[in-house]
Amino acid sequence: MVNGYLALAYGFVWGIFMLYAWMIQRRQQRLEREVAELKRTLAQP
Amino acid sequence: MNKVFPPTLHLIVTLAWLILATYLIFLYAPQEATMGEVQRIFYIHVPSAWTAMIAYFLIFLGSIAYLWKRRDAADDFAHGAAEIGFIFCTCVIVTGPLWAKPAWGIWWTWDARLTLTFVLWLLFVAYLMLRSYVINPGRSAVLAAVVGIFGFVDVPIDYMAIRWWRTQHPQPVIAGGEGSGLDPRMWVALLVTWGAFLCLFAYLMRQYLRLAALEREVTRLRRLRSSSQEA
Repeated sequence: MVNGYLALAYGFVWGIFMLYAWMIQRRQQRLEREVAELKRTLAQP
Repeated sequence: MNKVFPPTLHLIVTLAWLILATYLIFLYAPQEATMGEVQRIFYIHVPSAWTAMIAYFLIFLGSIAYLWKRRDAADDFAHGAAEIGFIFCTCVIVTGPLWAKPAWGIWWTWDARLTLTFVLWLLFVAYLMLRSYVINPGRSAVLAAVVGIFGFVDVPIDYMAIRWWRTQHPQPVIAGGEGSGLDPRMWVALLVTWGAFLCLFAYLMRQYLRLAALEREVTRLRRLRSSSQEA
């Protein structure tokens, strides 16, 4: 039987890192879209 | 760097290393005689603390470099180390009490080590708040660099606290004198986990630096668009 405190500690640590990695990925995707959009706007005559 | 060690490969290595660390923690390292299963929190608590301290050292270096050369890359480096170091430090602050409650019967006590680690966490918060709330980017970078440099004083004192003062926190496992050592299998699990955490830290830093470069590119393109609209 896994100790409850142990499960909470490991769950928190893996959870927070997955959440941060997902957030940074989303921020990157949003900025990549924005860069593409701005480049398209600037390329228009 | 991206050609020699692409981010995808870095992610795969990090995940494999974390899986190996998890195997060593739960299946290889022996169960501690007095505390039992809950002692295994130690394998994530201690490497998180060491990584958070290294992160603050990187903020310190990045801040000095920024104030000296005024290069955006140095500022991005310090900012990234602060964001990721904050997460590692939060892991320390959360996993510590989860170990302390079953081991000591209390969640928290204001002894030197715990208080100084809490101060370190507050320094990460202060750094990130300055980045968020000071609107002028140049001013925000300078103020944050000052916090990054002066705040570093806390790190060596925090590290030495359990050697200098009698604390509720357990005595050190490294250079802690006689009887403070670990079982060799526990050492293996601890060091492999720390290696995995450092690899994860480096991967997240790369992702952050890519993000910072994109943010600067967006700012540059917006300025270009504004100037072309004015013309």
